[in-house]
Amino acid sequence: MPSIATPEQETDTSVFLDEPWNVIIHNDPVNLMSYVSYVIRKIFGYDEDKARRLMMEVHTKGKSLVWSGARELAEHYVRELQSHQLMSTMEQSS
Amino acid sequence: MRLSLQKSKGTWRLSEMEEFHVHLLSQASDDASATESAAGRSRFLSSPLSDEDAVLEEEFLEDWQEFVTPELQEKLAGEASVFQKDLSDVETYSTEESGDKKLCRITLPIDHGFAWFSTLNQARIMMDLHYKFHDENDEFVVELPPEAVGDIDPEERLAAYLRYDFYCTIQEWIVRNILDD
Repeated sequence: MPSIATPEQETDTSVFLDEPWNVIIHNDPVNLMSYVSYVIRKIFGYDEDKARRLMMEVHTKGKSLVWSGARELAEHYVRELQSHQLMSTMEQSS
Repeated sequence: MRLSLQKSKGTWRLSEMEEFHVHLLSQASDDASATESAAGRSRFLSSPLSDEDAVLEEEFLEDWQEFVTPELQEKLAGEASVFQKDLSDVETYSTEESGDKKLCRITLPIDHGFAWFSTLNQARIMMDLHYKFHDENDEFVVELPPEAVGDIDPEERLAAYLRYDFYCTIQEWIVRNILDD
């Protein structure tokens, strides 16, 4: 059986991997639950079950981390959520 | 009092309204003046960062205020403007059942659904801030404690709550039948 050469792997230690940013939706007493669920699906493309679970987390725990990833996208998502009148912030994962 | 909401191809309609319904709706634009007060600006144009992170991100926040905040403000005002313009197209009619009594109706394009939802939402959020409908635990406050009343007239607060509830009913219908369909 011929042996398969394994390419040497190098790790570029000079690349700094930024910690992901979290997008958080905060509860408010006015926005309808059906609407919050709809906005989560519309903006993040989540299915109905996931959107409903996140909405319920916002409702019962006061906030929910709904997305994590690159900073530019986090900024985009917070802007979208705020334009739909949902209270939202972003924070870097610690 | 009854109000009928119907959706058909490409349009939706509010009908069988009495003038009282139209009066309640016409107040939404005023209620919604979202970004004209400090409380409204703080709620609708809030910082994208927690206070803790904001200290470290001054430049980002300056950019946000310069570019994003005006965009959000314009969007909210634009949606309220669509709502207000639509309301000017309310027509009156009567049926055999209504007799001499005039009813009101308005037919709207489907793509105005979000502007209507947004304006009614802005109105409810502003009313909630002004009339303190909810406490810090988000529980509904039927009667404000004396120390929280300030310059709020109890009768005005009750009337505002009627509008709040009326707008909520229409919003629920819009989510189910227009936005989420």
